[in-house]
Amino acid sequence: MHEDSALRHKDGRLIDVSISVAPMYDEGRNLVGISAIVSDIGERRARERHIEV
Amino acid sequence: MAQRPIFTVSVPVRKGEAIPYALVMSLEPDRLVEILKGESLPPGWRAAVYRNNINIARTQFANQYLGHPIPDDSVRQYAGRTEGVIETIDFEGQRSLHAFHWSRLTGWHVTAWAPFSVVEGQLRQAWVLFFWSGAVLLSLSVLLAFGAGRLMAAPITKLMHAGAALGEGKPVSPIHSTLREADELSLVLSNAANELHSHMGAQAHLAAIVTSSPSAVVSLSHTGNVRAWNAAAAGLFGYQEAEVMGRPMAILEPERWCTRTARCDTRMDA
Repeated sequence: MHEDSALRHKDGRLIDVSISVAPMYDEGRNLVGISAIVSDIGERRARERHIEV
Repeated sequence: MAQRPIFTVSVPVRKGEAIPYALVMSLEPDRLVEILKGESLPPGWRAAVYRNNINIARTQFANQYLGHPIPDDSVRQYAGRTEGVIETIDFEGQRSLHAFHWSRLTGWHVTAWAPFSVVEGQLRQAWVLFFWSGAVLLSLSVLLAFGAGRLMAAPITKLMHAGAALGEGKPVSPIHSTLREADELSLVLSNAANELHSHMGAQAHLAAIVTSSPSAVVSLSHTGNVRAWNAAAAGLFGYQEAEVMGRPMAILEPERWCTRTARCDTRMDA
């Protein structure tokens, strides 16, 4: 599952991110957790907004 | 169970005055036979080891006579003596002269003998025979004890090292010793160690990928608590690993999935 979202930094500001989420299973096919790879897409977002404007 | 004779050798392990444990090893008689055969007996001479008057090793016709009780006449003549020379009929039915020694340590009789035809040709005087066969016996029993001890000690030391290496996750090479049993055990240890080592290597490699990834890599338990948090995640969100471990991921996403409706962007722009 892949989507763009906003997450909150410790200092309170929101960060534009792209999140890839994948479920993790053990050998018995039981769900044991979720892995997430999070990329900062702040700059891209800023460019996009600039173009829209 | 295979119907074949097996005997055990116990070696006490000393720590100063105390004997905290003993190494006990079961051996097949053919291992002992190999030691006996390693002694260079003169042509025509045979050697054997008895325990409780049962033949447990011999240089000739081992397959035929191992596990057999020695003839009654020999038992009678051995009784109550620790060493000496007897004249009796051997397994092969030959009248022969036997020089024997009984080891208090192992409870074994070690015997060297030759048919009269051989002895008479070689040695005519009894005292020469006695002296000579006594020397053979002494060297036999000393070498036997030494050989058995060394046979066991060297592979066991190697096995101990292999076990220690396994515990440290290092690779273990299989040993090649005089004890087949030890070799087989070491092969098992070696396979286990290599399996463990490659597994640990692969684990470390995966861990390194996550640690050094430029993207934030996070894993959550199925209840949503943070279980992994790499350096990039710390950089991106401002939380160090220790601050978020075991805590719910929700601290990062009060507006979770809000981009679907673009409300977050609106709010941020506002």
